[in-house]
Amino acid sequence: MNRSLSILFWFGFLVLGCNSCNSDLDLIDESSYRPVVYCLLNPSEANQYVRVGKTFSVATESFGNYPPVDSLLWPVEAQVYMERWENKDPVETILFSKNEMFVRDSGPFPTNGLSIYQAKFQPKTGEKYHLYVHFDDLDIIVSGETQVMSRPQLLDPAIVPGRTITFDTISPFTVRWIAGDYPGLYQGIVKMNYSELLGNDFENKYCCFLTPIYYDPGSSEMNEEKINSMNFFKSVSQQLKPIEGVQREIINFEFIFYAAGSDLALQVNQMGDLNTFSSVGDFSNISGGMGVFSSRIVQHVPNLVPSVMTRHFLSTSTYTKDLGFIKHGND
Amino acid sequence: MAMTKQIKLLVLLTFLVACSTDPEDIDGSDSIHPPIYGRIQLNFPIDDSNVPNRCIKRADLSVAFTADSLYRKKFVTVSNVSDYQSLYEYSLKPGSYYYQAAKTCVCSGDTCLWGGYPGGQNGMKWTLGNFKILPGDITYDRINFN
Repeated sequence: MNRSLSILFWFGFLVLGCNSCNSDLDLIDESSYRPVVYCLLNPSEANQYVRVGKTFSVATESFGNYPPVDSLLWPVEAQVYMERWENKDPVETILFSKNEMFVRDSGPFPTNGLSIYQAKFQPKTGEKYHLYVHFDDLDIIVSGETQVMSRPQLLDPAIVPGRTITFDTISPFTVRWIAGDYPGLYQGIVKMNYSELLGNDFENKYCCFLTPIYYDPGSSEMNEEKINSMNFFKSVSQQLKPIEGVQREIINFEFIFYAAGSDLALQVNQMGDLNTFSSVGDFSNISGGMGVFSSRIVQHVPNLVPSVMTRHFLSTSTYTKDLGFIKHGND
Repeated sequence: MAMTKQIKLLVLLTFLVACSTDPEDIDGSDSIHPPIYGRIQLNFPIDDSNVPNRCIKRADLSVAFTADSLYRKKFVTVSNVSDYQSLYEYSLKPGSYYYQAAKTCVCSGDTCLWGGYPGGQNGMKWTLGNFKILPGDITYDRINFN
């Protein structure tokens, strides 16, 4: 009996000893990953999308490199669905299915490393939605809720026969819009399309100028945002490089107007300073994970004709005179 | 001791220079710079009698030194005209200027033709005018389409 106990004691001691000598360190704990969920409801579109990814570890020596594809993908499928709520009760459930064919924007993240889920429905202004992403096998669920923003009425710039767009030192370029009932963030992009002729090489290109971000608590009054022409020319000079012998000519302008939903706007409003808005990465309204569930509306005004003054200043302004834009009168 | 005298002399000279008054300063003509710009306010109303206002859009408002320059598109400025702004103000150097203004009619049917817009829809009406800029003054003009 004593012998059996002794053997058992030594065997147990050996097992414990061996395990205690295990020197493997689990540097990356699988359970430390968090779901990253992005969904921006768009009342202008018939299809809505949810993007699902996960947080990933970045080794110090590879900081700045693109993360590998598999570091963004969950190893299991997710159940994605939304509920439309009325008077504090869900009245409709919308199921999302995985869309493998979705063409994603390029960027620093590998495009095939993000799962896209799609559902066919068109949200309306003021409707409340709850989003759920459920990983059955991992027993993880993330959720968020949002209220769909109102569609802003973009007044200027507008396409009118004979009307031109001027960036000069005397007449300001003004963006005008009426926000609507709910809070929102607003930003315009002036896209300048131009041609570039270098030797026998001809190419159409573009550069963009972003207007400052504007917060509106929700109103029916007209907002005005004046754009400083010199800032525009400075922005052009920062994007285009002087090239010996190049001939550039402006083709037209496009105006893209982004309106971001109330969740983001309220968060920014709490910060109290629009200048700190650049820290979007810190904002999340997703419970159990990270990301944004909100709404956005994009409006596009194509083919705005540049005035002769815009052409003149592109070829003569301090910032852009060396960029090879054709002089007014020679075109 | 000689050094102290030199320092005193230097301080005295500094004060003398600092208190030096040019004749221009005394009469005050140079102490306040005269205004080198004047302003013009151009009122661009939409008030057609035969066409509803919703059909009329402002299309152009350009300023040049001469009427000939307007024709040659050698402008001083071209306004970003809007349907939500009727008063356009410019800060310009003194002198005489010419302006051209255009409005267009966008409604379909015979509405624009009835309103006298050449060709009907998307037809344009043009007008010319001139004004003078005096330094420091604000002048006002109303754009009329006859």
